[in-house]
Amino acid sequence: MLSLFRISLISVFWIISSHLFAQELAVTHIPEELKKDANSVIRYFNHSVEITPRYQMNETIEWAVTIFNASGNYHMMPGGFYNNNSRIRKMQATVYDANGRQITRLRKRDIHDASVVTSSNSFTDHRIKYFDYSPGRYPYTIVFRMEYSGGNTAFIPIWRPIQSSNQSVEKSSFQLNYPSEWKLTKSERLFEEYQIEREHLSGIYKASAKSIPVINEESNAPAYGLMLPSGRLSLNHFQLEGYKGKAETWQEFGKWYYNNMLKGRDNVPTSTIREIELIKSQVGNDTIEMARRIFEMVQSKTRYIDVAIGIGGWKPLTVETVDQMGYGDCKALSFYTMALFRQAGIPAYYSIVHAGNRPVDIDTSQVAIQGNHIIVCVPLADTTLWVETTDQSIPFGFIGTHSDNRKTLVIKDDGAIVKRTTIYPDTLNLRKSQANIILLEDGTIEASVKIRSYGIRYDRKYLLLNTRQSDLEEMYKKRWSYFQGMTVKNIELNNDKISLSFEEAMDIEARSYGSRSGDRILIPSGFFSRNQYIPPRYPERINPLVIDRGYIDQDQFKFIIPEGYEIEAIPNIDKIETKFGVYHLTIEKEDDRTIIINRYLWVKSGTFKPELYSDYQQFRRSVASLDQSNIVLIKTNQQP
Amino acid sequence: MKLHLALILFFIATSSLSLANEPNVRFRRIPKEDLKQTSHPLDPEAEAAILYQSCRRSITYNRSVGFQLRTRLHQRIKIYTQDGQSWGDFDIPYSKDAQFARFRAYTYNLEDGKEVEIRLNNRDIYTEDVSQFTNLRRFAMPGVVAGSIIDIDYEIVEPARSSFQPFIKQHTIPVDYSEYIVDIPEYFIFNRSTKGLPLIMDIQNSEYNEGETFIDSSGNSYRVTFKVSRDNYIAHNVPALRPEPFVPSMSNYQSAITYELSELHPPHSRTISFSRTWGDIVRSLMEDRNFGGQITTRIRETESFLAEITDLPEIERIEKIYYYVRDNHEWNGNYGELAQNGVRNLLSERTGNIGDINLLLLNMLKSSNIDAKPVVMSSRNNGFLNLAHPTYQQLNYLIIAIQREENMMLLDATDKNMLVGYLPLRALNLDGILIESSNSGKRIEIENPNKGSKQTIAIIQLNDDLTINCTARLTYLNHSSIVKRSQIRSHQNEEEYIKSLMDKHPSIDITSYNVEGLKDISNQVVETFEFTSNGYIEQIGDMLYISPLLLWQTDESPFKSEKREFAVFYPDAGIETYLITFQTPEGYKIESTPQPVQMILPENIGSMLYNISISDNTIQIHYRYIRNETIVSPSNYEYLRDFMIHKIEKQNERIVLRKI
Repeated sequence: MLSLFRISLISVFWIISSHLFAQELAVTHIPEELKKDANSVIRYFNHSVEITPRYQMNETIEWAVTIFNASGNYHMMPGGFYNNNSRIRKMQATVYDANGRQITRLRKRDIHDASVVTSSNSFTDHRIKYFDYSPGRYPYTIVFRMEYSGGNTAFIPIWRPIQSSNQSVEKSSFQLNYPSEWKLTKSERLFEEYQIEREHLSGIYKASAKSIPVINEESNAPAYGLMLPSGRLSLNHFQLEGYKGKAETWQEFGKWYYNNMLKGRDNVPTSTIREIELIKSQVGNDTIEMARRIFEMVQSKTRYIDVAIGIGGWKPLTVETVDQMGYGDCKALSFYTMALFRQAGIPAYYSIVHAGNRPVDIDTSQVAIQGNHIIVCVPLADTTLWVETTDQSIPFGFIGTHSDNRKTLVIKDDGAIVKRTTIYPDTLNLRKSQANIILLEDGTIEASVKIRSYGIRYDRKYLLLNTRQSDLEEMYKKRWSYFQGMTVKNIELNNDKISLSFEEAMDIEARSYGSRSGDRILIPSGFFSRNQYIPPRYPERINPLVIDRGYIDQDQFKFIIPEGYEIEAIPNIDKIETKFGVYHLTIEKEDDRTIIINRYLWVKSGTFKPELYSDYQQFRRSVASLDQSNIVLIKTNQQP
Repeated sequence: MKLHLALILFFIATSSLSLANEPNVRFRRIPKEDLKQTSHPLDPEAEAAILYQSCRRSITYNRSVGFQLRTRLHQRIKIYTQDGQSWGDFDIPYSKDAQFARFRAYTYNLEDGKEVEIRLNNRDIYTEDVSQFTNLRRFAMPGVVAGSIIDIDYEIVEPARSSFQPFIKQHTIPVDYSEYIVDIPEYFIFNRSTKGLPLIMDIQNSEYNEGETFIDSSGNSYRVTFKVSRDNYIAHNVPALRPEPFVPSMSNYQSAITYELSELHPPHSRTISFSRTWGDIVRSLMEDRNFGGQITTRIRETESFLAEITDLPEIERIEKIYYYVRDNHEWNGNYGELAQNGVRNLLSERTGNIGDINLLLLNMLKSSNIDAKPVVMSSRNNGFLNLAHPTYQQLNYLIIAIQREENMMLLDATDKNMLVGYLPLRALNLDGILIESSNSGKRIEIENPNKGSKQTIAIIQLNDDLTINCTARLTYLNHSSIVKRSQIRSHQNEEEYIKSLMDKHPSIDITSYNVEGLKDISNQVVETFEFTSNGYIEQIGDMLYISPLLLWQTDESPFKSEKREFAVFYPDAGIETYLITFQTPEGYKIESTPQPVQMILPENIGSMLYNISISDNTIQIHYRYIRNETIVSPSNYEYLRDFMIHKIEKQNERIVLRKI
């Protein structure tokens, strides 16, 4: 009775506030500081969520966003996602012009319904309803109201006042009403920094933000999502796809997850058991080798398809299904691989991770469903292996930049633990190259090149084995585009799946390299290892500098000059040693026609204060410039 | 004896079977050699191949529904590598009023030398709603691995249409055998055409008789026999067609067969004629209320605007109307030569498709007594217009033409960065059909009125510390001004643009910047800026090596392949000139300078001129690069590639100074 009253109060509140706000929608009401660098401004955003003791989640979202230009159109957010467990009850939209006068009210026939798929290897019953609106003028303001209800309460919507780059916020608020006997945990990011007010009484949580200007993205900074204020809530009682749960610790959560999502779905078909037994008999006690062989078997008989249907949205397909269909998504393939490992007596666990190029940890301070990817954890006596199951070419035990160096949640039968995935330290990420180069009198250059990549430098190299010859040749030509008229021949690739290193060897011929000036030839000494990346300038850097992964280059080139020429000058380059890295280029004459170049570059991983950014930029500029240091050759005088 | 004879006859019979064009392929009967095959014999790097493809289309009569189009497809695909497995994922588009009369799909693998068959279950087939008229049947074949063969057979039945979806003969993987068989009753006359690269095809035509019972409009039934013509297009060993750069649309080269209805001869009824010539298509368009109807309709809302400009000379009226339409309306991203919502709706909603916006432009021009005419065409990404085979299907774009003296002015008001008389890249696609009257059209060439030009004047001072101070003035004319304006406007503000310039050339520090012509409706943009840099001079021993073209040097050639099969299509043509003056520093004398050179490409494709003049205290580089043609034929590709290499080498040559 009490909660009903609360609901109707909220509805009345919305009706009144919408009326008031409509008049204030004129663009002139937006403070100047919020317009700077903004493609859109959120005028107000009110998200109210109610969770009932019967595990129903009802939401009302009302927001108004002013869009200034075409780049801001995707900020319109003209719709919402829904599926069988979370339905859209109501959807309204009205468009206003720059003066706050209504232009149009979008009608039911303007609502489009589509499934959230982009490709033919993606099945889902997640759908989206959205208004197909094409603006006729800028700026314009679009006001939305949506109402949802459903039975999944395990994932309480995250509140993000700012939702994308080049967006500012006038007002944004969030409210959660929940049964007061339940316990709420909250993870509040950057609330102090942005003066976000909040109030937490028994059964009600409120947060509101005001006047947040555009938060500019800077490159080589912490992950952008982590720089935006956000609030995530979770309750110790929840329901997911019809399964109720109670968890206050990761232990309890893991147990619930295992029992409801994974247990009983791992029956391995007899034919596959036989294959595993066969491998076992060939491999004996070597656990790693056994795991490798089983992993490669899975790779050869399955492929990745994105399946996010109903229960498939949270539960993986059964082992039997994957075995029969030969495909699955990351949940299904990881679950399948895990079950096969266990069948062979190898410890293996289903692990939830935030996958992506930037290492982002699972937030362990809050027990809640997080992450976007599943991998398999194989904890052995003296090492822990992490297994990526969605890539058929990836070698066993290598996870690359997709899932490295981040805290993940490992689901055990009786709980869950937090573990960090493989770290690829700077010293491991080595690329060694070696080349013999001959410059001919007519300017043509011939070289045989060998490159070996280790650690994170190995990432995705193994995909080159599947690349067609002509595409490989184009790739090398682009990589070394400062050689003119290059042809690439005799490409040999070697993938060492045990030591996780990759070797590329080839013969290069090019029409020219470097430059001619009168009787002189200038040859940049970096040859096949010129590091040309220079980070952008930020005269007033705000964010710390973050280099996620460091690496080392070690190169040796032997360069033979043409007949009829002599070495006029060899650059003498000082070693650079900074907190960002080390660079050393030595160029030495071996004899009158042979020059040996030794190059060493170490770019260090780390986090640095914003004030140091320009020093980093300077370091990278120096490296790029010194890699082009010229050796000067001059035509020998023909003595009369 | 008898037995021998029987055997001989038997052998002759079977061998003549194998000599026939059609391979003996039966659904679900997979030859073992095909399963064992590990790579394609003619294209060893192919990740997959279509072993067999047979599409039969027929127009048949159904008593309750009328004429129907039946499409039956049997396709067999072989997967060679892991990358090829995505060929086991299917998206079959079909109209919402169509139905699958039959659908079966199987995967075949070889396990321990034995064939294993896996059937696709109905519950693993999904239907996607993609647009107002189209659905998608989506599924992933089970058990697909390297070596698998997929066999699919289905039939779609839908109401007879006036045009068929083009049957594509060529794909990005090789096709071993492809047949397209079309059965058309004599009541239908279709225009057939093939597009794309010419493929060697065996085309057979035959006829047979059919009998049907028809019911006419009064309810009487009668029996009729009629002829059915059968066209059979067979191709063997079609090579894979892979994407190439500098090609407006690969669909231009992809071999396909299209059918479009030109006449209908229903039994006991009048003949109905559809489009056959461009004149017929023009006539239909002009009679269509979403085209011709939009041109002549009176629009009150524009009358006051037109009244205000009525006394101006014609060229000014054209400009005013063009900018009025361009600036007050937003293109919603939809193509189409027909108006989507109509010009009246466009004025109130201010957003519309290509047809809406350019038809409004045409309407207003004509209301102002300007002899403007519509030009219908195919957009650049939609493939070239097939002039020999007039069809509606090809058209999806509209621009407006005004003949002024000897020049044809072409207008497109859908791009806010365009100036009057210039067309955006999407509208540049060789030809269009100019609609001259209500029933005649002629082909015209579509191009921008002139080449763009970029002129750079820079004065450089060398400092003692080997940094340079440079003052530069860049003048962009005509099309180049449009490109530059778009580029600057794509940044959040001027500050961001300057920052992006410095990020692109990290060794320069821009100390002042000014741009003119950004906001005006003028065909000129002028940038003036000053910068310092430590990046273009290198000191080695006693020598100074200067890169004369500074930040304007070309770093790499876009043409890396040694050979090329297709013509190269540039988005534009133009002239670039540079006049760069260095003031030689004290204490140095000139050791060597680059030699002047002139390079000319064959067939007037382009040229490069490099001149250097030296006086007491200055060195001046005069560099000019001209590109005349937007299309370069493949036979000239090697000259083009060579030219680029020489151009970069020349630009790379240094001015060498020696310390005195």
